[in-house]
Amino acid sequence: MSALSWKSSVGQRLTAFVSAPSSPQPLAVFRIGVATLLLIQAWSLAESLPELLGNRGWVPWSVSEVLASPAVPRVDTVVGALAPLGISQAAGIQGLAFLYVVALLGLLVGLHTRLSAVAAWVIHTVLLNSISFFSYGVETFAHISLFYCAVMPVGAAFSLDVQSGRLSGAHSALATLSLRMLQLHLCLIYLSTGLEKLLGAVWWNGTALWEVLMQPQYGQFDFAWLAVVPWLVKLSTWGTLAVEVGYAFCVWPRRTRGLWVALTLAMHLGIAVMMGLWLFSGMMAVLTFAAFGWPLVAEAMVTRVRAAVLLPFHSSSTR
Amino acid sequence: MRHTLTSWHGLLTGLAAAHLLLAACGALHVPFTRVSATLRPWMLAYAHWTGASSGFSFFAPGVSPATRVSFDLEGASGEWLHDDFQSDNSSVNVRMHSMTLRFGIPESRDSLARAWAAAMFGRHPDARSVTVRVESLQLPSMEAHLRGSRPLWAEDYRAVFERRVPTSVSTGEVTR
Repeated sequence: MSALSWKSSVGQRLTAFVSAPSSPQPLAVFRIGVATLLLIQAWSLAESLPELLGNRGWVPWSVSEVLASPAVPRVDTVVGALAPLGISQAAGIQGLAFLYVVALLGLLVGLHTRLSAVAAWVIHTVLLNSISFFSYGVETFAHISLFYCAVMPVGAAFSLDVQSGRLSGAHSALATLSLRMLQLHLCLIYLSTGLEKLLGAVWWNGTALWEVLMQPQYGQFDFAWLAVVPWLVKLSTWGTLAVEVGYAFCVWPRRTRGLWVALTLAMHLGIAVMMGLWLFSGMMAVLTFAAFGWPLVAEAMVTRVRAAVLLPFHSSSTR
Repeated sequence: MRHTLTSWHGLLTGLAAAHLLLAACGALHVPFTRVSATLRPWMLAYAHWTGASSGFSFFAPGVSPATRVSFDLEGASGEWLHDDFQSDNSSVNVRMHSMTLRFGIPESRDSLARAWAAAMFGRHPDARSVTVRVESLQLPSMEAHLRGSRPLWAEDYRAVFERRVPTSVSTGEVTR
């Protein structure tokens, strides 16, 4: 093969990689999963809004400002803008939270999906910039996911918008590009977190999970017995590294994709059960399942349905 | 089947690539110092709005020691009471843990302790003073644990706050 034809073949593959029309279903699964988890999160924190967001809460606005981005408004800006209308601080915060929940519900069912996603993303960004002291991994991924929901065609399947004819559910090049972006971003996330772990001595010597699970905040059970089986701690620590660093390389080939999706989901299930980080793990599981797992599941379902439909005819013709 | 890239789709692909490049800079902690001063605020704003500036250093490179905050309150008649931020709600507890981890930011330590003391005075209107204690967990290695060593809480920070004004007027004003 000449260099020119090789170049053209690679170019053709790259073009197909980002533009060959594909189903918007994975993006819809992503939308539904993210919206569901964020609604659960909103419900679980509803009673603590004054403590988390109020100026007389656990972290006053003047203190939380230290970690805030100047480029994004905060709750105090919104409350300040509403004050001349006679709306109190508590009512302003509750109103903002209410709008956020309404936007998430719209996103969940795919009703005016783009508008709902943009509203949820903007409000989430404002809320996140106001609770920097309280945020952890789940907020980081919720923020990234809501931005993607706002710009990607996430309402083009499993949505009221498609049912009512407002949106087409057809395969599209935009769905492919969006899915690729999500997939590549996930690879970047797992690779960077894995590589950063590789810089730490506790990950090399295999004791990191001992240090994590023995922390009262994370350990859901008494893990002191692990000291008796250090090989299990080492195996789990190095296994975590292997799944994270290997993600970017093993989730693409068809032969290893299913295995890596299963390993990643198992790792997040472990984090949820052993560390109690259910929402974080749920969010990560949704991202991997939507980006890499759903196409496999959908393909398997189609094959099974096709076999069920065709098998009777096949059997009768060979009898 | 041959696929051709329309100019519109090509533009979108370019934007997606630029976004991912920015996200890679965020993930690898590459600062925008080489970007021109005019462009930098726009890039930072974009990165903050989209989450492209996010890092993913979960328990990396090392595992931060556990931190806990507790309060010793002196009541009106001199009795002592112990309290903390533990809640029945696990979602709230995770956030409390994130907050205590950020106690390590030097410029906000005293302000945070003052705010927590005010919150405790609000919770215990009769208290005269509150001692804020922040401790970190010193965890033994697995070998040391087998030899009998146990995790120990070591005090990192202690501050005493007294109520400045009578209970009936304010519950939040504190003085160190």
